[in-house]
Amino acid sequence: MATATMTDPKEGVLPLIEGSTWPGAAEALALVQTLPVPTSKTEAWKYTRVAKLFNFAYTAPSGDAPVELPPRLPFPATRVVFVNGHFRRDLSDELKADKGVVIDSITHHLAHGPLQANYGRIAPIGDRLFTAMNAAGPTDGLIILAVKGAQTTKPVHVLRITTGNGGPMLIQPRDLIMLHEGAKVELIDEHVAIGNAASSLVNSVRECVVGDGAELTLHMAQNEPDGPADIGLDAVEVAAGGHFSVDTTTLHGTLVRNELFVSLAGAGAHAELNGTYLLNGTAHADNHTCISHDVADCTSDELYKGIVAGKATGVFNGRVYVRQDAQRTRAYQRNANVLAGDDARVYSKPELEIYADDVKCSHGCTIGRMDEQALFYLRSRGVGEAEARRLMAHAFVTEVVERIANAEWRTHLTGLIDTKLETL
Amino acid sequence: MLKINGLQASIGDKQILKGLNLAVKAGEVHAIMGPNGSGKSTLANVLAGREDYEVTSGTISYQGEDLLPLAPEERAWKGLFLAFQYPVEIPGVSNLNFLRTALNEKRIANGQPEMGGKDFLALVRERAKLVEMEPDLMNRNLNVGFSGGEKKRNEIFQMAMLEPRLGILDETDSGLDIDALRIVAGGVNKLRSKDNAFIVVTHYQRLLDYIVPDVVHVMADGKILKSGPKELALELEEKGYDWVKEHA
Repeated sequence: MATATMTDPKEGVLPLIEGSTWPGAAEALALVQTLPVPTSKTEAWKYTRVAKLFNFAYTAPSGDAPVELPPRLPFPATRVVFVNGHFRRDLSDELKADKGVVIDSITHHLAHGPLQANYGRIAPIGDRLFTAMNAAGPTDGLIILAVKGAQTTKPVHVLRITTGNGGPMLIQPRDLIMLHEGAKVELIDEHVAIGNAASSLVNSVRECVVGDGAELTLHMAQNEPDGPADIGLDAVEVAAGGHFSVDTTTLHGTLVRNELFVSLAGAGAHAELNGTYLLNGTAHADNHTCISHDVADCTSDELYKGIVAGKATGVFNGRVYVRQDAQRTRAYQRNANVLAGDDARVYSKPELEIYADDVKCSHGCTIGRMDEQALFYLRSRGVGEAEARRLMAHAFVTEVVERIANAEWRTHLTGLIDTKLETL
Repeated sequence: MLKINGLQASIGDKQILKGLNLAVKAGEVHAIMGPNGSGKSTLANVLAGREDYEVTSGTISYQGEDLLPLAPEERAWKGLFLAFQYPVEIPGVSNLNFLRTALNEKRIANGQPEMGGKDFLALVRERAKLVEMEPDLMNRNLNVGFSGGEKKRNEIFQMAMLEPRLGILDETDSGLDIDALRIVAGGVNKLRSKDNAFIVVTHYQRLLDYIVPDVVHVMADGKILKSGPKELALELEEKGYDWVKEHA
């Protein structure tokens, strides 16, 4: 009779997170020990296999690795640098430029009241192993605190660098963004891998509180060839009249999972979610969004578009949840995909759960090939096939980019996208 | 300029062209008429290089060169132009950006320098007049939200910009009212010269009142049954296609 030795797949992770003194770390650790690793039978992880992430004996990330910073964005921004998850004041800009806006390492604020009121509240662990792992032993993170009416005069550019070639690291960024009444903050979150970091795991959690009438704009760019596995959760709570908008652009990804949970918690709150994924090679990007209309008179608008080529995989799961008393909800969602290769895969799943009766909700999802009629039309006028495909691809994703309000970011992103399209 | 011999083509399992012969010389306008399903549009699309159609037999020589191995864009660079029966709407692609790309790719392929923005816009203004195109349409997305007539005008405008050696008009008259028809035909007439040629595919004689052909061909069942001078079109209009079939 054969016997099997049961080993916990989390053995490569546990030693790194034990003993953390962050708030709630001990309780989170207990959950890490009990929560199972998601498998393809776990509905929320059906198309994104994570078992392989637990095959590595991770090491603690080193924050003092020497790095050469990539060029600055082509427009003014306050740059905040994290290396392997650790805040690097020496590489960051002056962070006190905007009155009433605190930008700092979250570790300096763990004992403060405003943090304790929200930390772990916006992104509760529930049954999420990765959230538990993060809470059990965060590496470091960003805090942005904007007092009533305060504004960032230029976007905060968070540059998260993962260095490669040093063995697998477990990096767990933990951010908290808090906007009080009427505050306005714009954040660019860019992940950059230097060297081959494909065996590392970045498991991030960011909690965002958008106060009454406040406005949070988040731009996420994931452009990492040979980057680490990138599992991220953004949990956002939007109060009355508040506005949250996010654009997520994934151009490379060893294994990318973007979870976005938005709770519209006050009347008149609005969320706008935009996503683009352009994947080839063996890239895997999974956008898992959930917008919860918790009260009446909120609006949400979501558009994700992707082109998936090579042996890449794109996953979109968009849940819209409308509570019973969330009357007069307006929620729009659309996901469109172009499959640009015989081995490329796209899984798209809209989920609308509506318990209120006076709502306007719509969703649409398409997966198709590039329009051959249109390609022939362009080619018959003398546009070469490669260029015609690029024009069509550009046109396809432009719809998403055009929804981004910041023209400088839009232009920059268009450049990144066009460069990527050259390779698809 | 164009010599087609024994052309057979099919789509899927269905053979549509069944041994078609046609010769077009520079300076000529040829009209191809015929009932629905006779293969007129197939011929136009095969000439432009549409890959849905498979050429199973026969030859096409264009300016002394074998046309069949060439990609659609290579044919365009060598001066071939197909005005579509149903111009395609392409959201997100600007009419002018696309046209500038097409024009410059053609110029590069022919060893000419790219045309700068200023010269290009001057050319646009000049050629737009040929088909009385509203300037507003130029900056819109390609054919998106254009009326049927505007789409057809845009086809002729593009043709005027690209200055083809061989222009093929696939039922350009369909869906046009009489004013639009006159404008479109007027545009084509202004482009006619001793160095280029046109093949006008049409179901009705009406267009040929405005674009007067040198030769009229009648197609049925994948072949040209009868060819003659422009008066053939009138005779056809009067007596119907059955008359040709009976006398072929």
